[in-house]
Amino acid sequence: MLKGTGLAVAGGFLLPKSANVRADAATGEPLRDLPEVRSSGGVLDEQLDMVARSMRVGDRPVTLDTYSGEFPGPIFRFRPGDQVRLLLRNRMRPMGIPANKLPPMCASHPGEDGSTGPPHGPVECAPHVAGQVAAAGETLPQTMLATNIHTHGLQVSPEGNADNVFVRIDPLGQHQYVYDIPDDQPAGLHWYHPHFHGSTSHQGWAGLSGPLIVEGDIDEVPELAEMRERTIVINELWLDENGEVPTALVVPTGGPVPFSSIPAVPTTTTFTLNGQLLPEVRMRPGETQRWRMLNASPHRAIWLHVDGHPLHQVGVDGVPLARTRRVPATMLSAGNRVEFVVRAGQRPGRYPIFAREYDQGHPGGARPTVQLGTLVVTGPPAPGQIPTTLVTPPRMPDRPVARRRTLVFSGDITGSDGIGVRFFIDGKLYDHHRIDQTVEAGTVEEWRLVNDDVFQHPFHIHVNPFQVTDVKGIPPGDTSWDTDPSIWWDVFRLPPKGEVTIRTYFRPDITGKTVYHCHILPHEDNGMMGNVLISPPGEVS
Amino acid sequence: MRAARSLAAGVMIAALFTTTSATASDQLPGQPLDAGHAYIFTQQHRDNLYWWNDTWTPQTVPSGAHLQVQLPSDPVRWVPERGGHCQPSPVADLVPTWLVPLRADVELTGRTSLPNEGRMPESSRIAVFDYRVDGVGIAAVCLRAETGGEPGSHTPADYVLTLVVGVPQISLP
Repeated sequence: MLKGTGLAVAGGFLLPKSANVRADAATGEPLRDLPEVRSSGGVLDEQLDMVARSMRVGDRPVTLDTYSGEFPGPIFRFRPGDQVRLLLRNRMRPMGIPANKLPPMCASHPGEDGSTGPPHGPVECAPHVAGQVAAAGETLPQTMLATNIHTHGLQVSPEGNADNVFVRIDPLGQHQYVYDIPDDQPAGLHWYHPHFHGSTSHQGWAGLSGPLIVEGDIDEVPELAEMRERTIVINELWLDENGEVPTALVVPTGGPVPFSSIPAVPTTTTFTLNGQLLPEVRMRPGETQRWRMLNASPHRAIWLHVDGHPLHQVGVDGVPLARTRRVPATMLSAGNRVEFVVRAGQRPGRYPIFAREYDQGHPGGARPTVQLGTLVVTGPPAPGQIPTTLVTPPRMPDRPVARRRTLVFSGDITGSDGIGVRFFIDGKLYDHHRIDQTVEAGTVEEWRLVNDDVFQHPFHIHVNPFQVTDVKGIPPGDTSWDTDPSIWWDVFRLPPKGEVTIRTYFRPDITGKTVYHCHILPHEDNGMMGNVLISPPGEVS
Repeated sequence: MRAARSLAAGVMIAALFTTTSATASDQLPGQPLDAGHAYIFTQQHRDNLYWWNDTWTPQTVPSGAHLQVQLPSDPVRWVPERGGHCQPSPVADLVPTWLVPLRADVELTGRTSLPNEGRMPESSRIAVFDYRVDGVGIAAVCLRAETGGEPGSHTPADYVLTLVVGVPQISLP
């Protein structure tokens, strides 16, 4: 049990938010290590309480929903073949509700017409809202508090009490998750985060995320085994002037802050490393460290640079590589992980760790350069080794492609057909009940993913990773793309007005209904998700 | 001449060294990213759009607030409008705002634009207008679309944003 959980629950749910301000996240502090829980005897059994906690990010007081009081959540570390048990308890409360206008309770959303949409006028609206509150729990504040958890990257069952993203846990509710980690789960960095359709971005902007580390063969590479390891979570906080995530309908904007709300409130965007604003990572000249980095941002693509230092990749999206790859920088779309070795230069100094300016297609052009932290090279020299040969990564089975599919991604942010934005796959908004694709476990498929938008949609599919066999439409001069066909991904962005072809193997032992979606979470929440049914071998006609 | 060349070379080397040093220090843009504490409004905040189903109400902002209006533009061009043509909208399409005679001051403080090619139909840029509002009462921000052809359905010819200024706002616990 994580220490202080009970206190955190009481502090977040019962006390005023000023009662438990934590002052451990000031600018320029050493990057902290996240608390960690390791499996024992093949079992990891933990409780996660989703609870609001007041703290400081830099010198600013904020109140965030957290996992058991931790921002970001604790690391869970286990091995293939283990069983992971998580009891998730929802103790969140309403926060960030703008008080400057009645919320849009009876506005029509895109796709709703006179027969399916809300009633007209205030007289008919009031009982409609009362019905939503009492019967369906579908008002915006209620939806923002509904939650569940997704184990992003784990090749586990998507059904029952496992990685089932169709579960809904309302405040004061709980759910016992049980995951049987397969013996062939690749060793690397994965993560957990909320995945209730409609509230994923809201809860992501609060920083609700945590690392999952599967240990295995890559950890036994001698050079890696000897070096200092850091797990670093990048979060993107979108906060109002009270330091809370707005509980409001979100619309995209240009300029430094990429979103506004209805009703409008002033907001800021803050990027943190392990919950800290602009922390320092200290290394000795020549020292090598292994950094496991996760981009848990709901929106921003992080084109990660460590000034003056190349990165030596050893794993991508939780799957180890065969050989170390030296790259000048690495792109982490929302949801991506990259594991690499950094060797500090021989010259002492301060080297910014930053996300370089990048145009991911958002309105208003490129998202600006933003500093995330600082590498401080200081002290006496240290010998550091970088491995060259790593492990044998998973192989795509040598089987013919059983089926080829084409999926088309598009969006509409105008608001011309209803309040808010909408994003489609194959012209359809997400429907919880609809099966969009039926595949057969144990087969190889190729999916052609076509992007009709300028917005770069990072495609993610649950359970099974994929390899990229073709990319079309990379903008001229954009050097951020990595199209190596040997890499296994579980998130890969679609170029603007371009397309990507992926090849994936639906492992034969995992069946059930799960999802694929854009990992820009406001896109997913607003429709860009589909259901895939993985049928047992031999049961697809 | 040789001395001048040496001086010029020295200046160039010094400039190069300075540039190199600048990238190896903490000279990048700071955090958090903010928009000058602005209340940002888009085409979706326009008064009484049909999808409000006659339930639209104006929102409040404090006196002294920084407002920013962002609208899809080019070829449509937006022109700020003041005076008698700029009137606040009736609430819920019923309650005329002349019932509240107080009017707050609206001052245009800046305008610019941002790239937006391909993001929205019939638009290649975002026109950005900054305002400051002061006082207590109703305020209307008005923009008129002109030139460049007929505006599309998402860029109505007149943009009106009605606000209630200076009314104390509730702060939830």
